[in-house]
Amino acid sequence: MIDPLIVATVEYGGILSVMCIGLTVTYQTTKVPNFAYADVVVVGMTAAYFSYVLLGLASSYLTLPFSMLVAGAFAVLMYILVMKPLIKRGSSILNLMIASLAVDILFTGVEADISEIGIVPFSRAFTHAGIPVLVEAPPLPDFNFLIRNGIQIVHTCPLASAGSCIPGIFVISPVLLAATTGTMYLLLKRSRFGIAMRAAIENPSLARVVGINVDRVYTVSWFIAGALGGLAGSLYAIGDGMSLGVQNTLILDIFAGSVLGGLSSIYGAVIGGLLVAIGENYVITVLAKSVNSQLLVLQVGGVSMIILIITLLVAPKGLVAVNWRRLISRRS
Amino acid sequence: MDITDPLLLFGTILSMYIALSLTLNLEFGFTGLPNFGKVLFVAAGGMLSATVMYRVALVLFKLHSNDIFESSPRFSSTIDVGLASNPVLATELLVLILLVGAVVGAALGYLASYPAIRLREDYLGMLLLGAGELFALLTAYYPPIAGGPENLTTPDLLVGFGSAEKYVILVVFAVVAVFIFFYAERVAKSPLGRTLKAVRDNEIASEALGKDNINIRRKMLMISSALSGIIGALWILYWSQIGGLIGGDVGGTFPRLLFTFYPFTIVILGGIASNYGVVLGAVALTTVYVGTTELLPTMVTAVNISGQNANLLTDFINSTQYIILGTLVIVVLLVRAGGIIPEKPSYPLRKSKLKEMASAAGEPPPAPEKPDSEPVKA
Repeated sequence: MIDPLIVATVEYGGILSVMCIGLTVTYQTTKVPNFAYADVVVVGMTAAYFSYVLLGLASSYLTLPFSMLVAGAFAVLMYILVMKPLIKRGSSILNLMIASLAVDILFTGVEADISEIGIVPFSRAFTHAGIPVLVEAPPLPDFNFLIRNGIQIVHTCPLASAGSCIPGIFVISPVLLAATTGTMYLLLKRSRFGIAMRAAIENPSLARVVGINVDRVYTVSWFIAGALGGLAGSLYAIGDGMSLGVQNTLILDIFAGSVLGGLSSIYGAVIGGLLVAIGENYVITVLAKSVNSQLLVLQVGGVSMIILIITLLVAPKGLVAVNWRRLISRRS
Repeated sequence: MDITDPLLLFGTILSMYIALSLTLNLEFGFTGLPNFGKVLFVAAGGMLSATVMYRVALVLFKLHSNDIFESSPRFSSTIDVGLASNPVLATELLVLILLVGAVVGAALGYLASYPAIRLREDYLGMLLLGAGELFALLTAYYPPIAGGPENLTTPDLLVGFGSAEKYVILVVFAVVAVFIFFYAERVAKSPLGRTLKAVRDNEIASEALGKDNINIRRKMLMISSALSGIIGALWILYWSQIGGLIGGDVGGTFPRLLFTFYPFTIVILGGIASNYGVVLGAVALTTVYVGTTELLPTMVTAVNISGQNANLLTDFINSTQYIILGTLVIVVLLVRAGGIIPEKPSYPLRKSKLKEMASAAGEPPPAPEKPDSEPVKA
């Protein structure tokens, strides 16, 4: 067996970094910190459960395309219904931030109302599938890699296992993160759309002059960001299960990771997300064991808020903007 | 069905929101500082003044215990008995919490001004939001501030008023609201108000005119934070029990929703940098808030729906307020970004006086008020 702490760190690192990439993409396009981004993740999470139960999928990982589509559509809706009209009106960044906060509150209300009343017709189907209610749901079933004379794929680990057992998410999460980063690289640097997107981000009016449909580019970017949120939501459902309202703590981690990465580059977002996940899962647990067990309460949001505040005070442009070479040579 | 309690609640919450949103309007509306960490200043003022007051009262009444928070219900009722016969001491403690709230608020405002004059507005918003979250976590799990997971039952400083206490609290909040309203109106009409708007709208121009942008921002942040701290301190009179985990959520007595998002909702609904607008916005928000959390649920029990259905319905009504308020904010931002009563240009003298002077000088009267346009810089 691998240390469950490392499993949790790797799993969450992958998920968080994907979400940070998504937030960075929305920040790049509309230049507004989107406080409602975690809601997109929760939509993806819910879509994962619904598609798993209602479609009777064979594996939890088959829910990925569904949750990506639904979450992407949700993000596009948010962009078209709220952000785009506001930007057209010439709203300030502050008003856009408040609008995204309002979307978050609105979503919280809808979520609570659905979980209180609307879930009743569904609850029977869910109970049948072994998932009692949707408000607090156990993780979707995951497969395991059993290492014993080669690698086998099993559904449940044998209790007295002769070999070692690795949960599937431990491998899938970093693999998907790498795949996402690679795809984003290819998309941005090698495809026509990516070049148009970078142009539209860099200088919207100039991009318009050369004939790029900036509006469509932004809509597609928001869809990509939403789809990444859906991907992360689905993985979160497999790794940790779901509890409605989880967006309130998720958003703190997403912002910490993205700001640490600089909110300007995808690679920064990956690094920031991984660092926050390591700090929040691994470092704080080790510190709590060796220094003071009270520190463990910082795990939910505390570490990420400390990281966020320190980053904004010391290097507001994030890790990618720090001139490391100069910093190192000055010291030596 | 008794209507007195909901009405009292409405009055108290309304006064609190008028006061709090006016302070937010001073920093966000007039000065352009996006204080997304409003809850931090209110909660710090409230929680710290409560513990300080409680500890002072313990010393005065010679009460000792290993865990002062666990025994706070018992101690506080002992203190209450003492305070009932000693109104002077109760008044002194009241002054103490107001002082502590103001000092804590002003100190935090000074601290917050360090990033506030250096960071871009969206980064500043994120920073303050994060600081508020961190403080909520701290109070929820670190006992010495407000008992942590245990609640702190505070002594009832208004115990001398007996059953009239509810009305006294309402009067106190109303007085504070009226005071802050007149202060804000005075600021709005004074040269300071025009300076603030200049700092908000065009930093470089105001600097060129010799205004000290940094100092002005710092002062406004400190003043409005001190007022927020006082409101937080008064809030414990109303609750008489504080804790970082009341209701099971981090934030406890001072949830982010009620003390950051709702003041912003009020300012956006009513009108940025418009004091009358803020009052109107507070009325609208309080109607929705008290209606969905108190009035309608009371009606649900009154019409005799019982059991699980009643609970479900109450919860449903309760969370509908988020939908209503979230939608309202988005719609107002889309349709009328200046708010219901938009910001008006303020003149150095009365308009009639200006006209008189203009006609005496043989000039045409000053230009009519501009129609509402985006008051915050784009």
